[in-house]
Amino acid sequence: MASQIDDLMARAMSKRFSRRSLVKGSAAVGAGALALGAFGGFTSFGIMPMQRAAASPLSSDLQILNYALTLEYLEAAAYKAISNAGLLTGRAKTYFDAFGQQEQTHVDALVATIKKLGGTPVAPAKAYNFSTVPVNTPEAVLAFFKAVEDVGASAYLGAATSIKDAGILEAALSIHAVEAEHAAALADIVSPNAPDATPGSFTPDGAFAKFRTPDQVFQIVAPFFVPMTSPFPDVNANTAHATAILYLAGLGIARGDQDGFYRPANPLLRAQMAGLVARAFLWADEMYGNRFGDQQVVDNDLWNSVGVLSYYDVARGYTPTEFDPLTSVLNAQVISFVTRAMVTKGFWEQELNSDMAQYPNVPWESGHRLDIATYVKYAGTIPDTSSTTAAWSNYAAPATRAFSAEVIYQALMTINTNAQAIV
Amino acid sequence: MADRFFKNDVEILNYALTLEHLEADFYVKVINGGKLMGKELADFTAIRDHEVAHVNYLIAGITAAGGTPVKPRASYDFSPLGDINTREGILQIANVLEPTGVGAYDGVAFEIQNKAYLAVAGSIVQIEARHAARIKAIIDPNANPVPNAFEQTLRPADVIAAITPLLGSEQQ
Repeated sequence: MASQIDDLMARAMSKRFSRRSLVKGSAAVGAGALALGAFGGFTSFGIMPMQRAAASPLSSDLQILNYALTLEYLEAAAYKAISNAGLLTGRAKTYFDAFGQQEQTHVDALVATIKKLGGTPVAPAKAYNFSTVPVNTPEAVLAFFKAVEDVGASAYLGAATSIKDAGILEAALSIHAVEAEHAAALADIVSPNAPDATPGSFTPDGAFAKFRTPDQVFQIVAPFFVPMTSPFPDVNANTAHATAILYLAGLGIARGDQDGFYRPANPLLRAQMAGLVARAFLWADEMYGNRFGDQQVVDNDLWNSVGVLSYYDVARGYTPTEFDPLTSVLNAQVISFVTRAMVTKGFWEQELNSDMAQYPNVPWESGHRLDIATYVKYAGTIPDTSSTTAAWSNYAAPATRAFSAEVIYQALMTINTNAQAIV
Repeated sequence: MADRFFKNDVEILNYALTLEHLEADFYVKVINGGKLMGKELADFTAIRDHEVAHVNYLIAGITAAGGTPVKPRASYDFSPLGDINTREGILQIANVLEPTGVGAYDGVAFEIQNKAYLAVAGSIVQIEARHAARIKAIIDPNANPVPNAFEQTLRPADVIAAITPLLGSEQQ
């Protein structure tokens, strides 16, 4: 069943869905102020650093609550869609109707809690993409929802240890138990005889439940956020670029220009690259300041992303004090940004050697060969190159928005979504 | 939020161990009693294995933390909840023990200081919740086995009061 979910990851909206506002909860600072797109200009939008700092003690619980809310919206919508389809009868229908209502109760409670804490609840997607949900038989539906509930339970478990407030922890654990109960109950209908500690079992992890991190959970649910039709008039849904761009757009990572176009062939600036990577890896709302002195006209939001990536040594400047944010990012630099992010997050291990037959024209002095070797090892051939043994003629050319999206997408698709053991 | 009940994490782990001893004893007796068959026997066997694993893990954890794991009682008495010698009684008892376990863990979690212990408690409580739903689904397959959108949380004083009649004679 886990692989069934994994299979769903291959596809793609809600423009309002913002991964960063979900997970990293810009709630406390007002999501509206963050409307600036990945490519949107560089004007300041007037959020003072002090406001963000003052909000930070609560904001991380708010982020978790908005993360939970995002998942509950999705679950409630999925139950509703299936109930409306009229596929289920009898016992299965009894369960579905009740569970769907309970998910909606979770949504309402989370919204109320977030508001009570002074936060802004993330908005639901305008439409979810349920095209990958199996609806051919009741059994397939039940097995699918059983797996979804297992993911939900693992998500709450993964978030629980980050919760600071005792009351919120208690509420989250209370919901966590209910998600698990849903899964166990559905298993009793669809796979009642599955052996313990197998995917269909009411206890798929055996005696100790495993958890998932937000990165893993988003990777699993991403297909439900992929827009059914492209929101960008200039992104054609039949190209490799489009798959990547729509995927990232669904998660709020890629946003396009403010006029609604994506301009995939345009070059990407280094500050914009930092913004994309920060959002893709759920770092956008962390704050560590910024050691570079050349912010210039870069807005504070993107500049903060530069600071975060610098903190993690994902972004490195041209000099200790200059990031050069308004210069186009180069193709090989895109590989390095993304590779370092994957390594920092622990998804990949940095390669320590580089086979000179791989992209043989890229010189050692470029400083990118080990990152390229790492990227290729885990994510395969670099986008827009025909083979890892051929020359990468434009490695030092400015990267396009499309190329950058593909590089990120290809990397995210390698994230192992298997639940992780606590014990 | 309620006041803290325990002085430290080891006390909380021993509180959890007390509950797990109780559950493990029950399910061991059930399986040995031979009153269940087929799928129900398979389910209860899995549940027994889980509870025994919880006991062993908590003992190891408490010992590693420098604490003294609480010992199981010399005997337990489940008769206040039902007759352990009948299928119906077994389901009745299980249908009390499991939700109590869920509420106990969820209601004490905020007191846990060490995040690693909190993670373990979360990992265990999810299993107790799965047991609870499974047992309800067995008792009445056609009723919703998840009666509430929020699981109850129970404070230690209430849990201890509830299980004290079951604890039988003193510790071994």
